[in-house]
Amino acid sequence: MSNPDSAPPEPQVRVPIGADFIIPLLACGLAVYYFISTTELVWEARATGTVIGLVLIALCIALFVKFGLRIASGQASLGIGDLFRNDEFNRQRFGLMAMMTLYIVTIYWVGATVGLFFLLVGCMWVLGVRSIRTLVGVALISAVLVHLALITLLDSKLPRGLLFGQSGPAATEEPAKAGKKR
Amino acid sequence: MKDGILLELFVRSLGLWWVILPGMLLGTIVGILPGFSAQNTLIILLPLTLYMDINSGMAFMIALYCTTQLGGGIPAILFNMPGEGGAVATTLDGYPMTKKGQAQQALVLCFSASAFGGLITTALTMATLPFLAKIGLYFRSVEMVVVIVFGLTLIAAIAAQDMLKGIIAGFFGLMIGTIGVDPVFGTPRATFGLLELYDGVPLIPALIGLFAISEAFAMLESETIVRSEHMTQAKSARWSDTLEGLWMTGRYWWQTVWTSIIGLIIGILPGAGSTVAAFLAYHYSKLLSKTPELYGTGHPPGVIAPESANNGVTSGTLVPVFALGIPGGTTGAIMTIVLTYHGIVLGPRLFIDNAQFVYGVYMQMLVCYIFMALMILPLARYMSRVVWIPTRFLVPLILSLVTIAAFSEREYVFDMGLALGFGVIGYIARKTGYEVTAILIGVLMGPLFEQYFLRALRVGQGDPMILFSSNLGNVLWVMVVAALVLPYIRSRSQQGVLAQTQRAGHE
Repeated sequence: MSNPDSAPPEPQVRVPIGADFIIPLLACGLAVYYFISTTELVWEARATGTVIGLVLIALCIALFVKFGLRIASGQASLGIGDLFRNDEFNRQRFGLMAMMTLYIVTIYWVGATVGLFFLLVGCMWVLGVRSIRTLVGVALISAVLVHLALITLLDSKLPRGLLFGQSGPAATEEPAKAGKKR
Repeated sequence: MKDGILLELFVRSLGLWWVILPGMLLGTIVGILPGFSAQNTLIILLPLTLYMDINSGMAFMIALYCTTQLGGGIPAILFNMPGEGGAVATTLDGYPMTKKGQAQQALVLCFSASAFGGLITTALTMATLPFLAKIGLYFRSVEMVVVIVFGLTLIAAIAAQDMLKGIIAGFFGLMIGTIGVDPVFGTPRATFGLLELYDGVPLIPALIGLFAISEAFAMLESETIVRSEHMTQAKSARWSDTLEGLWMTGRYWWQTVWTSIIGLIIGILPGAGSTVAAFLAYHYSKLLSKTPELYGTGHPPGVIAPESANNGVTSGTLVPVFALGIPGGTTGAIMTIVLTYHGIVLGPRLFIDNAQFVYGVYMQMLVCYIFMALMILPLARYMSRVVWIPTRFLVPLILSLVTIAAFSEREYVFDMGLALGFGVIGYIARKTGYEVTAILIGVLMGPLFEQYFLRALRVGQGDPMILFSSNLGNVLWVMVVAALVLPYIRSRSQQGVLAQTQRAGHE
């Protein structure tokens, strides 16, 4: 039997903190963009954002120093952890994001209701539902209810799509798009 | 006002059940769906309310408005997806209760706190209406800056686990809040050249993304929302759990009273609204609690405080409309349109010339809250069963419905993409320990802070000492400092007591 006291010490587990940099880096990026895009404005217009941005950058630097010290002392590593790991859940998340992006990009042509049907079918498929009856049933009932409530009853300006005689973004009444044309 | 007249008004209001009940039903649906606010619905239904006689129209609008505040708490508790800005603070303790298999109790707390909070403030408003009408006059831009700063200190309270990360999240939200045209000169700032961002980052897509989409992405890792070890408890929920929820509300009755009064006062102030009220109430509740460490873990007062406050706001909203003829927000503005359309002259004379009408409107609100307590409470048992649905169905439904909901506020497809973007940010923030609630507080309160801050600076001709120039403002500043220092002192003294106990144990 080996003496437990003479066993070699277990290597220290380095906590991956690379992903913890994402939010502060995004925040710093926004602050720097704010400073650059507002240089020509009067002070009152940029005062609040400048103060907030400066404090934000100072806080982020403090956090980076803290992280740096942890990495230098061997407690942490720059690894991303499980945030982007190629596992089943992350593949499902990317699948859902792709479905939503596709829905948003094609909504003018496909229409909100028909698109919603395909979005629901796609998302449930990504999450492992394989029964055709369930896929079609749940998606159809949801899409019809949304159409009745929002488009028929509340007259929402959700894009109707080619099926309902709308030909694309130019034919919609989206105020921002109209503004851009002006 | 004589008791006989009040009784007559009460009976007359009861007779309006035929508009109050549909208003409540619609309000609950609108509240549950993020993106569908009471304001938008009231605007859509304006032709209908203008067509009705004044009493029926007001009863319908009030029923819809009051129930919307309650409805917003339902998805906040069940899916961590606030239906309204005023329900964001409800997620902090409501959703943890759901995860522990106590969705039914949490819903009962939400419903009863909303109904009783609304009842209390409505009765209080009726008793003190002429006095309350003056409160709004004392809160100018300087005092409003302090009120907003107080709301922002909640970021520090939420970030207690990792202060630096939490405050970074809050300031990130504030930075996002500065996007858009400035409130004084109307010049665009950090809009990435997008016209859609000229009005600032819209709140609904931000709320949907940070809460609903990011939560849906996180949710898919488990079979159901309720943790498997609590599923048996959740499925065995009985009527006794409804009673337990009521008992919890009774146990914290004082909490309901004073947090609803916070809501009432905030409701009177122009521009503040239910979001600020709910955050302030939650903050104060945690600050004054003997067990602040339980907040955020599914603690009943953490549900009661924001829910009573956001319903307390409903009584306050009408005070400046009646007393001054000045609406404090969009809902008040829509009601002003209906009132003036029917020839009601608003302002101080209203209390002399047509006092019975004013008290009649508040009586309708009182009746609405009584109906709410009686009718919605039993629904908690059935609503709580939604969380049994497997996430492979729930996640697609949530994602598709909230994407549609993101469109509803401004009717821009751009907002759907924005919600998805915020969803990704929210998910990364959750996974890496940055509080999404702190980000959202920044996004919500940043523009309000800037608006009042710049207004105060203009009044003071650029002198920042204007912020310390009013007595009421200075009292509020002391409260802000106390809110920041008190938890620290308390934690130090608790550590001291703990150390003393340990030493005594050793000796």
